[in-house]
Amino acid sequence: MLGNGKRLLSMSLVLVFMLGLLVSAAHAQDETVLVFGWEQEPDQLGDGSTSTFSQLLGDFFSRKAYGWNSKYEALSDMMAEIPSVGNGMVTTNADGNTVVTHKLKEGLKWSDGEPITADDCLFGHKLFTDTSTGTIFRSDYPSVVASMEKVDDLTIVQTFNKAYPDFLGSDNITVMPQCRYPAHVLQPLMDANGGTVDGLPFFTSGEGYVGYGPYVLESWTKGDNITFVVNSNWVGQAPAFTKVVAKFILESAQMQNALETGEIDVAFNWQNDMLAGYQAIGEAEVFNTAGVYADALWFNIDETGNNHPALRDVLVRKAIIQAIDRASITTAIAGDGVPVPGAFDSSVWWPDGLEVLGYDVAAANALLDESGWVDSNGDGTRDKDGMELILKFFTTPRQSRIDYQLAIQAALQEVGIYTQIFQVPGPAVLFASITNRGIMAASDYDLAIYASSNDPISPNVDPNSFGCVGLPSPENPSGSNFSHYCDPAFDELTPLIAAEVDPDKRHELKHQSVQLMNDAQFWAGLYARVTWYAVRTDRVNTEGLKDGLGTLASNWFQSIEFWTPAG
Amino acid sequence: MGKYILRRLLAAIPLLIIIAVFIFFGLKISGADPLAYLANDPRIRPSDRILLTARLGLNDPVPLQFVHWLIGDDWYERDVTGDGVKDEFGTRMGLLRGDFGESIRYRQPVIEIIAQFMPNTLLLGLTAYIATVLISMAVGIFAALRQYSVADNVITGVSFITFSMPIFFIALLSVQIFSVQFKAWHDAGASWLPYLPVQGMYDVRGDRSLDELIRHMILPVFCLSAINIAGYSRYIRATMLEVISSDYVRTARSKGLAERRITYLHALKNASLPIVTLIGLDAPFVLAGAVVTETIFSWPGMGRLFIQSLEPIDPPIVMVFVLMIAVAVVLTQILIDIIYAWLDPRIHYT
Repeated sequence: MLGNGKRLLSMSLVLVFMLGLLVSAAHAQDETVLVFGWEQEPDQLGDGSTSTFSQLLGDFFSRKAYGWNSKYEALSDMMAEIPSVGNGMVTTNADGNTVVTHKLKEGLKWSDGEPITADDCLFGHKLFTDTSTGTIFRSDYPSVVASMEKVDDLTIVQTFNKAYPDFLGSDNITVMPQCRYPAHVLQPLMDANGGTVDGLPFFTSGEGYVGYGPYVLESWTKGDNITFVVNSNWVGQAPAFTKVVAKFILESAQMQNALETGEIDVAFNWQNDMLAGYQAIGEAEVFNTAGVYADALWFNIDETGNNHPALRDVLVRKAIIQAIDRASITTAIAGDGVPVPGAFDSSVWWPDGLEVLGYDVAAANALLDESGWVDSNGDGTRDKDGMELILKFFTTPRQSRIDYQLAIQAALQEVGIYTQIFQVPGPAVLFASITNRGIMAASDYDLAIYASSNDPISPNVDPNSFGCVGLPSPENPSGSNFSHYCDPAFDELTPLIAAEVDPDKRHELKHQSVQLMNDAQFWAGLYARVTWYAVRTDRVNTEGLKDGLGTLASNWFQSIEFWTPAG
Repeated sequence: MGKYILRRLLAAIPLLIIIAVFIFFGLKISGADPLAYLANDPRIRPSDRILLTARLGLNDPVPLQFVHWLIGDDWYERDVTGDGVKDEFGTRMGLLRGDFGESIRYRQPVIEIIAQFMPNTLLLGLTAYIATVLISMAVGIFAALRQYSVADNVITGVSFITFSMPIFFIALLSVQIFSVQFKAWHDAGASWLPYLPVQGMYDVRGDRSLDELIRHMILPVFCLSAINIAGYSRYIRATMLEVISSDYVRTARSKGLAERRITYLHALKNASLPIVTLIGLDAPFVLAGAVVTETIFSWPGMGRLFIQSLEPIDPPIVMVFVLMIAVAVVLTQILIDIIYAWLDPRIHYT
C-alpha cells in the first residue's frame, strides 16, 4: 500500500521530466524571420486605434503618404515628390489659403495587386472629413483641410482653409492626404456595414486586410502575436526578412528573458533601469534614439504669485542651472549615452550661437553674489533683505524624478540654496487646474521636474503653455502656462510662425522665438526620453540600423524593409 | 433530484440579477473613465471624444445605462452631435437578448473576444487543475499514511515553503532557472540539458506542433499548480488522517480487508466530501484564467485579457467577465451538491 503512494508520486515526477525532455533540442531557426518583442497588443489596425504600438505596426503594412527621417527630412514611399514652395507644388490661393499638389508614384499597387490611384486619396479624404464614416481619430485634418480634388489618376490637390505651413503635418498633427486605405476594398465593406468603418473585421481582426507596405498581414493571433510576410506587390526596397513577427510580451522582465534566450530578436521601449540587464546579454547590442519627450527642471517666474521672489531674477535662474551638473547626474540616473537637452525646442530650430548654460559652480556663485543673494547670517543659506533663499521644489512620485530631485537638492545646497522637496501626484495635484487647486496653476511652487514634448517637425508654439494668454487664473482655469512666462514680444511671434508658409522666413521667426525663450532661462533640460533598443547581433545586422530608426515616435520602424539578417 | 436542480437554477436567477447590479453600479461608482485612454493622443479632437462618449451612451443617466446594458438601446434615440437634436438610435441588443456588448478597446463583440481567449485559458487552467488534484491527492495520501515520518516532515516543510511564496516569484524564478540558466548551460556545451521556453503558447519560428505546445505549458502549469498542490495536499492529509483513525476503518482492518481497499475505497471516498467542496469552490476560477501566470508567461488567456481590460478600463469586457465567473460559481455549487449525493448516499435533496 505504501508502495502505491510512492509509485503515484514518482510517476508524476517522471511525467514532468519526460515533458521536459521534449525540449532537448531547440528548433532550427529560420534566419529570415525577425521577431520583435511587442509590449502592447494593438487594439485594432488603422486610424481607429489610439495605441502607439498599433501606429508603429502600421509602418510594416500600411505606409502613410509621408514620413520623416532621423534628420527630420520629409520622405515618401508613396508620392513622387515632396511638395514644397520651391518646387511649385505648394502655393497660396487668392483667399490666402495654402494649396498643395500631391503626385502619387507611378505603378504603385495595393497588396492585392490593384493599382493605387487618386481615387483612394479621395476616399481617405471622405473618411477623414465625414464623421458619419465612423470612429476614426482624425486629428486636425477635418478642421484645416477644406477640400481635395482629383487632377488625374495620380494627382490630387489639397486646399486648406487658411495659410497652413505644416501642410504635411507633423509628429502631432495629421493633415497629409490619407491615401493608405484601399477604396475598392473598404467602400463595399462599409456599404454593407451601414456606411461606417466601426466594427469592420478589416480593422478589428485584420481579416482581408489590404494595404501598401513592404509586408502584408499573414495572421493575428489575439493575445499572442501578429505576423507579416513580404508583400509581393511592394515596389520599394525588397525586404530581406521574409517574415516579421510582433510577439506580445507584457511583462518587462520576461521581455529581457525572451531576448536572452533568443525567443525574440529585438526588444525596445524598455525603461532606463533595465539598461544593465540588457547590456549583460552577450549577443545583444544596445542603443537608443531620442524621443520627443524630455524631463526638465522648470522655474516659476511669476511676477505676482506665491513663488520665491528670487526666481524673478534671471541671474538667480542662470545660477541655479549652472550649479547643477546635469550631464553627470543624467549619466548616473538615466544611463550612459542619454542626452541632456540644451533648450526646450529641438536643436533643428536653434539660432546660431544659442547660449546653452553648462555646469560651472564658480559662475553660479558669482551670479548669486551679483544678484545680492549672499549668506549674511552664516547659516549656510543665502539670504537677501532678511529673506532666506529657500525654494519649494516639486515633482511627481516617479522614482527617476525623485532621484533627480535629491541630486539637484544636493547641488544647490553647495551654492547656498536650500530646497524643500515634495512629491505629489501629477494629474490630481501638481498639474491640476486652478479650480481644482493645482499647485502649479496656483503658482504655489518654485521649482518642478516634469516632462513635456516638443515637435521637431513643426515650429508652432502652444500659446496656452507659453503665452500670456495661457496664464492660469480663476477667469482662465484651462490655462497651462505653469512657468508664468509672459513676454509680449514672444507672443507676437507665435501667430506669425503658425502662418508663415515660406520655410526660410518661418525659420527666422522661430529663431527669434527660441532666443527669447532661452534668454528667459525658466527651463533646464535634464534628460531626453530615449527609446531603448536591444537587438540580437546573431540574428540582425545592426550596421546602419541606428540611423534608420529615426527619432520620432511615429517612425521607429518606417525603414523595416532595410533591416537585414546577421551575416 | 431533477426538481431540486431546477429549483436551484431558478433560485440562481435573482442572485445573478443582484450580482449584475453590483457589477454594473460598482464599475460606475469606481469612476473609471472608459475613454481616459484618449486623453493624451494628439490625434483626438474634443469633438471626437464628445461623439464617442455619446455613441457609447455614457451621457445617459446611469440607471438608463443599466437598462440599456440589460435590454439594449436599439429603441432609444439620442443626440450624438451635441446640437440638442436626437439623431441616432443605439445599436445594442442587450444582455438579455444575447448581446454581451462590444469592447471599447477592440471594437469587437465581447463574446467573440472571449471565444478567442477562453480555449487557451481552459487548456492551461484545466491541465493545471487536473495536475493539482492528482498530485495533491497522491502527496496528501502518501503523507497521511506516513504521519511524522521523515518523508511526511519533508513534504510538510516543502509545502509550507511553496505555499509562502507569491506566484510571480515562483514564475520568474522558474524561468530564470529552467529557461535562461539552462539555455545558457545548454549553449555552453551541456547540449544534453533540456531548457524550457520563456513565454507564449508556441515558438513563433516553430511548427505549432503538440510537443511545442506541451513544452510551453510546463512552466505555467507548474507555477499554477505548485501553490495549490501545497495547500490541497495539506488539506487532504488532514482529512485522510481523520478518516483512517475512525471506527469503521478500524473495523475494516479487523475484518482483514486489504490495506489498499481500505485506503482507496473506504477511507478516500469518505475523505472526499470536504475535498470536493474545496475543489468545487476553486473550479470556477479556472475560467477566470490565472492573471499573474498568464501575464508573466504571455499566455493568451482570460486572465491576460482581464488585465488588459482594466487599464484602460473596458467595461463591457470586465462586466461580462465577472458575470461569467458568477454564473460558473452558481453552476459549480449545484454540481457539488450532486456529487455529494453520489459520494454520500445519506444525503438526499428534495
